[in-house]
Amino acid sequence: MLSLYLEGFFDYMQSGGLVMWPLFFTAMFLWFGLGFRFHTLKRGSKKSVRTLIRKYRENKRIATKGLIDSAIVDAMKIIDENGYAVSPRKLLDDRFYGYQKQLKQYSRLVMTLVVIAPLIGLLGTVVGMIETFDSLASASLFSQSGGIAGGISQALFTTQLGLVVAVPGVIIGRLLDRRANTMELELEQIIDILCTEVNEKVSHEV
Amino acid sequence: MLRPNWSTYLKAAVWMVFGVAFVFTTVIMMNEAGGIHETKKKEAAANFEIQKMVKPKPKPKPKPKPKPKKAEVKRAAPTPSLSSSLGGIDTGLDAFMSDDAGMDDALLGDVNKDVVMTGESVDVAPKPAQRSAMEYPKAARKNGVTGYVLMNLLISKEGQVEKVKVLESEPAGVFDETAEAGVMGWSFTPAQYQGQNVKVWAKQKIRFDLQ
Repeated sequence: MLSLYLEGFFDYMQSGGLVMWPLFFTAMFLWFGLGFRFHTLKRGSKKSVRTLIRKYRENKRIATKGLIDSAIVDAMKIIDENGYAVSPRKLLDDRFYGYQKQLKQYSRLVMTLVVIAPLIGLLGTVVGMIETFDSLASASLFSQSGGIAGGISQALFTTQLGLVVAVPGVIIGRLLDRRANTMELELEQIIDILCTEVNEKVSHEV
Repeated sequence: MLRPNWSTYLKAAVWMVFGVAFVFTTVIMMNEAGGIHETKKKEAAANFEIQKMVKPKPKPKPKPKPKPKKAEVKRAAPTPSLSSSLGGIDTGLDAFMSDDAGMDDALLGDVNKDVVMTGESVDVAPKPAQRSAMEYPKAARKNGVTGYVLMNLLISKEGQVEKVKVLESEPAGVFDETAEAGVMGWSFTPAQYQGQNVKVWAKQKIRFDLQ
């Protein structure tokens, strides 16, 4: 079964020419990026940020399953160490910079590869076309070889593969981007909520 | 959680494998559903011309000077026919060319034995009866290379090609394999000597032309 599949795969790769391999590696890196982003953009729990903060306050929740969870726990630690004298906003901003970066990790790679894949496919087609017309020029009048249609159909394999590589990448990449954006907003929300709490406490004491 | 741990990379690698498999399965299924099968390129037969080998003209023998004394003409010792043992090597020396005086029945011996003769010594030269097509080498076709291969063939009594030796080829090494492989599939009308079929080394030139 596997050998049959591999045979089909290699046949297909050969039918498109040399440009198929760059496309293959493009697909590999693309899916690696998608998988990485999918697993880093785990929120943790489905509850809202406010609820989560309250639960961690009351020690009803200890486990940190995802990015937002650990961000909240981190922020609380910082505030506890810092005390309530100074506004912790700057410290939290510094701390959360790492999280922001993690949200964006590989997003550029995915975007770039999604754009590049059809272009590589197009390049392969152009190369194939050049070869086809080249052979057409040298073909004789009555010979059966050097048909134009066969060459063009071969040349179009690369464009096809380029598109098939790109389309799922676009869809999944967009979904992940949306998720990353909401999580970014939530991180800011965490900072806002915690800072207002600190300020309230300080003003109470005064 | 700031530094992605190795398990994330591992999961991403799993994604990579399955994603690539998914993409290629999709493409291949697509093509099979569309009934696209890669058409095998038609093998183009090479155009080859058979060129008659021109026999080298034997040099006129110098006349022996007439001697006044009793004319006992010294005969040269008969040269054994080396052409059989030197199978296929054209020495170009007159003495070994088969149409010199040294060739007679005694030397050739019984034809029924497996005597290998050369194209010049037989009565009826072998002729190609059935030629299989040859595939023009791809690289050569692409670059418009033409040339020829001159071969020596050992043709059996039945007209089958038993051995092939390339004598010369132009450009060297481009068409050799193609020509050798192609010629092995040919069959000849066997050469004849004194009405009987004989084994023979015959030269065959195959020209590769793009027309």
